[in-house]
Amino acid sequence: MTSLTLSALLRWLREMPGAFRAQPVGFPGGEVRVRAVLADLWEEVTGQPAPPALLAAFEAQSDGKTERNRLRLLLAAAHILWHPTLRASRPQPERLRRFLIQELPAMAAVVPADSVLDDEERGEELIRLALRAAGLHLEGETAHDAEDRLKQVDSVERHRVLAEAAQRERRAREVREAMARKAAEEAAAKVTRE
Amino acid sequence: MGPDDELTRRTPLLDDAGRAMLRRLREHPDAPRWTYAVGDRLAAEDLPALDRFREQLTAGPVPSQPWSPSPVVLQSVAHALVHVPRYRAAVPAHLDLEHDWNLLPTTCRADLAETPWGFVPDDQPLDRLVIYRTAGTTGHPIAIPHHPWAVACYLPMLEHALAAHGVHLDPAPDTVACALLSFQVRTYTYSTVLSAWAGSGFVKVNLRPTDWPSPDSPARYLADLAPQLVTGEPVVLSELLRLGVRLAPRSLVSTSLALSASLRVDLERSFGCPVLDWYSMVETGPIARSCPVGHGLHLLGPDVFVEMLATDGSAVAPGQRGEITVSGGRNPFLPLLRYRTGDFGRLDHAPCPCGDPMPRVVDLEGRPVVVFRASDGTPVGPVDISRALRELPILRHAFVQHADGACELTVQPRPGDPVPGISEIAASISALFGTQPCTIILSADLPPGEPPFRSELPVGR
Ligand SMILES: [Zn+2]
Repeated sequence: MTSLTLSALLRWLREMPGAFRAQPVGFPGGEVRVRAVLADLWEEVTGQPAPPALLAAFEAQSDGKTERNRLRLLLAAAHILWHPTLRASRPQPERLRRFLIQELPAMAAVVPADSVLDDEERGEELIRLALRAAGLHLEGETAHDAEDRLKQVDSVERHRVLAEAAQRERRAREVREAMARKAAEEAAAKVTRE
Repeated sequence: MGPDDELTRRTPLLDDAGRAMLRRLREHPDAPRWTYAVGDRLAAEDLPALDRFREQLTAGPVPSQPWSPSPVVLQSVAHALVHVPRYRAAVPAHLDLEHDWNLLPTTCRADLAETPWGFVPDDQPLDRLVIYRTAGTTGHPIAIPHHPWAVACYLPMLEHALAAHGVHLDPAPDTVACALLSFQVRTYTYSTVLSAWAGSGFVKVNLRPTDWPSPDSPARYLADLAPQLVTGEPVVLSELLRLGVRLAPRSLVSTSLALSASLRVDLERSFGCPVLDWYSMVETGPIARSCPVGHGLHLLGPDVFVEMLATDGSAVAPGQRGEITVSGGRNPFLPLLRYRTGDFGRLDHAPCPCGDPMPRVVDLEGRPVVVFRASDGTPVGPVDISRALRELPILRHAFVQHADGACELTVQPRPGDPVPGISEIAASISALFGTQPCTIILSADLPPGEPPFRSELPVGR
């Protein structure tokens, strides 16, 4: 088994095979079925087949860019969890589930999937989330160190507190104006009354 | 923009067959007056996404633990908490949604009325935004942000609901898939084609006689169109019976308000097809549809979580009466977080004799049917009256129609504004009610418990 150092895991991440880099099915040029990848992974690391309700969350829910990004980040996460040491760690299903359906979608909301390969800090963030889900930490770190470091690289928290008050004001105004403008146009035909 | 540009802006996937269908709907000798133009706004890339949504529905419901949201809902809420300004402000980061779901705040119609833009995710491009105005039966209209794709998802949901009742539609470019009927003093009417239903025709018409070239036109027009599906509020469907309109749809879908068992039986007997009850709101999209063997309304969406809450916001004990509260959904401009619908009922997770594993809403207390009648028998809805009074300086009102048809309107003028003239108010009422007598009363303090609308007309009239 390889030692769990950040540099080793970052290398593992950068060497992600083509199958995990491909576009998810449901999007232009889509080749990889994210649901199938996660189903294999789940069964391998937990020793149990994944419940269908869980697997449904690994299907594209829309054709939007944000949805594609979530699925692509899931593939990167699956690759990290596929690392021999993580795979062998037998994570608790509840912990793994929380990572895949809560923490990862939140991260995907603010981090482009490609950046975990190009930007070390984003790679580290995903690796640390995966390690926590697997109940592991890096060599030489305590659980407390690991939590501390995860807080430092937490993009979701940064996004929440960032002093982009001005930017948020601008967005609110944009939405308000768009709503007023579109309210003057017709909407889309609906076959039932509500 | 030329007329054709307008057509393709409204219905981007319109083709020659669609144009022929539009001509058929619009140039028919019995066609009604059209007061509005609208299309489905669907783009080519929406269709594969719709097919996937259809697959998810037909793959069968995914039984989840009854009292907690499914992973599909959790992942969409996790995203919304990051990007929806209102939720971001109200919920701490990294809450374990599965474990601490009950700590999440609830939202309601008043929140939407106050800052609708606060519900639109920051990362959502606005180019495909559309707006619906919804008034409900009381209250001020509010603006609901929506997406054409999410609106088109109603169609696979209808297919799925109809299939449970043994009904299959075959929409084709030369068929009329659906007619939405209304019977109102004034309402939008339009004709279009549905790209998500093979470019088949769709009309929304008003059965009020003044909308048509001749008294026989509605029956002839609808018979000629032969819509596979007819949708409308219960009162409108009962008008179909009253007017003796002969139609042979594959199903009738009753919407908006409670459908009584007796009306359902009458309709099924007269039209010889299943009649579905459909529970849906603009804010949430379709929530539930009636069980084919009469055991309440089965939940519909694989991507929504429905829970029942007590007035203090806590979850009620399993099977107890509570406020129907919805999370998730597929409207990218309005991801729902514990949205309280204002409707009450119970949620039953027991296996249903019909075999459908989705839980059921039972004892639904939805929006009650309030119908008034003009002197010529035309139904008048609360919405019509609200609209007529909207421009007047009125704070609150109480409208009653007595059993003999006579009306009484008590209004409380808005303080600080000139008191509205009695004759002015009377004129706006008689525009709706014809020669029905109406008494107008000005009151400085209308009792707070007085309902805005009350009908004492005998039921079934
Ligand atoms: Zn049933």
